[in-house]
Amino acid sequence: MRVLVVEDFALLRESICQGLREAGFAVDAASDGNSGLWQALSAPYDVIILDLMLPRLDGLSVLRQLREKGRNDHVLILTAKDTTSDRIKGLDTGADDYLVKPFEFAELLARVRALVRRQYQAKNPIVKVEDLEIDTAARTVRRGGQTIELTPREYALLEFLAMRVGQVVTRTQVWEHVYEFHDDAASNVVDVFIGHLRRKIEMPEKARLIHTRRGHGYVLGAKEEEC
Amino acid sequence: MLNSIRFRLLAGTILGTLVVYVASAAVLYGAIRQSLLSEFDGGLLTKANVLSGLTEQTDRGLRIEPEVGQPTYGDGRSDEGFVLLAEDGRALAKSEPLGRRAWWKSVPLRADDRRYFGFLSEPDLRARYVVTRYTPRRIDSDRDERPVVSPPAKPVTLIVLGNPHEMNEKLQNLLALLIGSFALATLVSAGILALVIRGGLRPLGALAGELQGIGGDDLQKRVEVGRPPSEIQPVVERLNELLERLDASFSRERAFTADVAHEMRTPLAGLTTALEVSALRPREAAEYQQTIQGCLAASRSMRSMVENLLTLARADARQLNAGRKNVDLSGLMQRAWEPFAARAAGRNLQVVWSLDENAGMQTDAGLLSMVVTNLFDNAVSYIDDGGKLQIELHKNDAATVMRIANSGSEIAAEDTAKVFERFWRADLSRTGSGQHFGLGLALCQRITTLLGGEISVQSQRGGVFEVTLRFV
Repeated sequence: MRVLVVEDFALLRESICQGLREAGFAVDAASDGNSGLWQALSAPYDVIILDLMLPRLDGLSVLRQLREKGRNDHVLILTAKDTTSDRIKGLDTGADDYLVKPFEFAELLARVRALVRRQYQAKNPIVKVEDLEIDTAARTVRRGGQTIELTPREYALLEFLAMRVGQVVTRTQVWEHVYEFHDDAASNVVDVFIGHLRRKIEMPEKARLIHTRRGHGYVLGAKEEEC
Repeated sequence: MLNSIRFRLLAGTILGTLVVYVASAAVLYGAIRQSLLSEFDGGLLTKANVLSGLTEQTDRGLRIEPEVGQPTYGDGRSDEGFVLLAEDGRALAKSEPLGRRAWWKSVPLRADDRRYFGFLSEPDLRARYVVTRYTPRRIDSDRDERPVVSPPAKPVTLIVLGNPHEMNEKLQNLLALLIGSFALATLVSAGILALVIRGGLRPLGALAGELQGIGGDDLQKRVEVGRPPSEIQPVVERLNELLERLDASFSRERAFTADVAHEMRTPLAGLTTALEVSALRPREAAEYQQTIQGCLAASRSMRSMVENLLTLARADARQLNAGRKNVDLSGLMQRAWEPFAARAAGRNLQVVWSLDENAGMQTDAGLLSMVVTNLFDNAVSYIDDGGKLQIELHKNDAATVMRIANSGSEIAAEDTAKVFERFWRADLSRTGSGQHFGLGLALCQRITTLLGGEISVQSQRGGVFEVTLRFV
């Protein structure tokens, strides 16, 4: 899942980015309103964490312009403004969530996960495909009751596929949602990671769960006829 | 209640009317009594004249000629009466009112007064008397056609006594009437007054009611008394002005507190998040080092904000005392620059010094260096990369002037007055960076004033931002 953090206080911005990355998110960061808006418009994000008091362009204007341009990315406002009228203004401008500084990082993380679930209309944090269980809250993967160890990047890829169970996910979509701006854009990097992931979750005596749709992309699902 | 305007007005006016009423009643009563008395005295005198006209000196002695219509005295039951006294005090003729003998003994006799009135106030005989002295007529009796020559008449004293009870009755009635009518008038006027006062004081009551509705939380309210009387108008106006000032200062205070809380939140959030994320898993020493550096920088800037706030609060509470020692200003400025040298080098700043090495001044070195440090911090923070920073110190006979100017100003000329406001920043959204809290220049102004100097700012957007300290 890909997250954009727009925050001008460097220590906070970098800490949030680090925490999110370590939690398996692909994270981009912006330190002022203008570059935040530009980044938000140039790539689809699952969640945008937006400060309100930003240099050059304030957070509410960033949000308003995003919505005017038809972007539906989930926006979490993270600000020091704590009055009820500030919250109402933020939510009414089109924010999906509002968190006041200072906050617990674990709570921010939980809210970001909740927004991701909402993005893919999933209420249950545990996604099941056949005997594969993906717990998006605890970030654990089990197949047939057996825990599977994944790297953060592999987990992120699986989670993205799990959020769209039964749907075809293109390489570009994977690229956009699992990788960051500064990741190497090698053309086959997605295929390589899908290969890693397959090796870990597929079991010889069981059905395949990740199917390749040649020319389109990948599908996570129970029974998919291969093309 | 006793201290209310209503009570004072009512008591005062009632007392006043009462005094006026009593005085006029007394005058009226006196005048009427005087006229009744003189009327009564006229009656007494008439009786005395009749009696004296009837007194005759005959050869057989003094007698009072009986005549039809003569007042009947002497039946002893009436309290009217008379006595005719000879010069030696003998009673020649008399009547005895209410059976009193020698009642005239208590009437003072004045030989030189031909006629006078007085009151007899014996315990059982209260009456008005008139005393006349005259010489009776001499009648030569021609009885038996033999003229008899009477002896020459001697002067006599006649005292006629009359009871003025009718007059007293009239006077008593008059008094009762006066007291009754004036008491009624007083009551009625008191009632009218009470109504008038209540009506007159209604705007005051309305004012009190309005004020009661204004608490500490809704100072935006203003006192509204519909068409207040001219006496209340200035009160209402002053009150509203006072409320406005109170409201302004309360809002300032609220805004200030909110600003402080707000400005503290972002660096605090940064600190906690950095530490929380760092504690999520074991890390390399270098990573910890980096987190620690970031947290240190954030806590340093929070500390400087707290210190600035405290200094401002002390200055506001007049608890900040400036010492006076001879201070080497050029040394002070150079020492204050040291912590910024690395940052300046890092941003490729061109720093131009022009210091008067011998400039010294009697001042508080600690406070002045706080000002200079704040100005350096601002300059190094807001200057454009590779910009030019000028630091000057000049002293002549008139004044000592310090000037710190940086290029790349983002503050427009018309905003220069606002730079001294607390928490004001050129870029409204440029807060929460955790570095600058918009307190520096407010503090500089406060301290410079305390040190007896003047601070001024000149700026052109995109040009030079220049702060001048001037000590005379």
